[in-house]
Amino acid sequence: MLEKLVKVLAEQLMVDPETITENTRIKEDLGADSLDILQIVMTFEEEYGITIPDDDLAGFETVGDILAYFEKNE
Amino acid sequence: MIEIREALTKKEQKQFLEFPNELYKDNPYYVPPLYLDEKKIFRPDYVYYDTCEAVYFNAYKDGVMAGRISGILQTASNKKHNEKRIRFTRFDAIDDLEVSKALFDAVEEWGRKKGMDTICGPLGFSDLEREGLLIEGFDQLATFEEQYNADYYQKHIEALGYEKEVDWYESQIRVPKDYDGYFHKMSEYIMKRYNLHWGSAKNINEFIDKYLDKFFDLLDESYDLLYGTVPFTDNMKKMMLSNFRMIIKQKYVDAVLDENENLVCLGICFPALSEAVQKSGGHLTPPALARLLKAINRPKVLDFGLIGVKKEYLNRGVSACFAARVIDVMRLDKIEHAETNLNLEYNAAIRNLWKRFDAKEHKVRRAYVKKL
Repeated sequence: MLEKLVKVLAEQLMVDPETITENTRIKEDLGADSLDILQIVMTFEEEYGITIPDDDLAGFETVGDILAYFEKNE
Repeated sequence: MIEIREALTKKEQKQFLEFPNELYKDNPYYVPPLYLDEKKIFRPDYVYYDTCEAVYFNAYKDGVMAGRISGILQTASNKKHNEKRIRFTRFDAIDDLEVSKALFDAVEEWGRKKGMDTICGPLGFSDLEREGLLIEGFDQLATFEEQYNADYYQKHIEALGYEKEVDWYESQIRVPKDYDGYFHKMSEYIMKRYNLHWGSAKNINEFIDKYLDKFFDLLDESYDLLYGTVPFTDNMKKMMLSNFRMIIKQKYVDAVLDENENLVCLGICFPALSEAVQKSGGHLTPPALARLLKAINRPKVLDFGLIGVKKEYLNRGVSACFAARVIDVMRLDKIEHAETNLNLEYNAAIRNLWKRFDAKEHKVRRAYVKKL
């Protein structure tokens, strides 16, 4: 799951996947804005057939937060 | 010898209004305001005088008009921010520091007499007016909505002790040649995710009647914390609606509504009027009117005007929906490019949005501040 997440983040945000770890902050380190985050959400919603409510997005600060969310809701 | 006079007589007021046209008569990038509109600043019932006071100074060097400046006491802004500020605006001068100094001394003294402790600018009566000193992009055509100034203004103003308060960036954007449908896909997703839909109207007048009043409330809400903004008064709204009816086309405005038909976002683009207005020096001669009509009906360039987003939707990507519509319109009407006009330097969201186009940040403007 981490590998998949890193691939999506690297592609969408045009960053080197080698630089992404669980501690990487989505906004501060990867430069994502709210539109980027929605695009990432859209990708995973389409891939996994889930809906991620806005309230849950507020907790997506690091890559690890997103990973934990998906693992919890798998 | 430099003399400063308050522009009180008809002749002095005409000199004040005409001076930048004369100063920039050979400059291909300067775009004058409409003379009829500018003239209104000297009317006691001018739309902004219910919340502002203003003063207008001319500078003469050896008897010849050499510069001008205006000071504004924007009481609504001071009340909103709990400040004692005046604004300077409409500063234009020949390349002579002593002329600039004399003008700024006059407006600063006016501000001190009003009990103010700070001066900032260039800022107009509201952020709907021309604002921001051009500090980069002197070889770029000004939009109709913004001022143009020579490169030496920055040197003069900074030599007089003014410091940067904030910058604005402007971009020229085009539809990417290899556009992959990104905004359209995001738009569809966002509209569905938040149960939103586009507003509709039979024509522009119906659109204005349906949405524009709520739009001003939306602007007040979304611009509340932005630099230099003031709440819309009823008179300001009336003036804007009257202007909008003249130049806005329905295909260049859009409204997004929620499931309860509440306005969530509204954006307005204007057909670019720069070239049409340039040729007549801002005067509405019959040929100028014909050029304006042509520019309004068949624009080659769009100027981004206003966009207001309800606070709770600010991080929900609604701007992407508008970006998709802009792309549609630019393709359909073969619009060469769009001018974003001023975006505050800390408005990362909007500046990032433009980077997803084929974009060039081609102008920078600055607001200055100084203690009185």
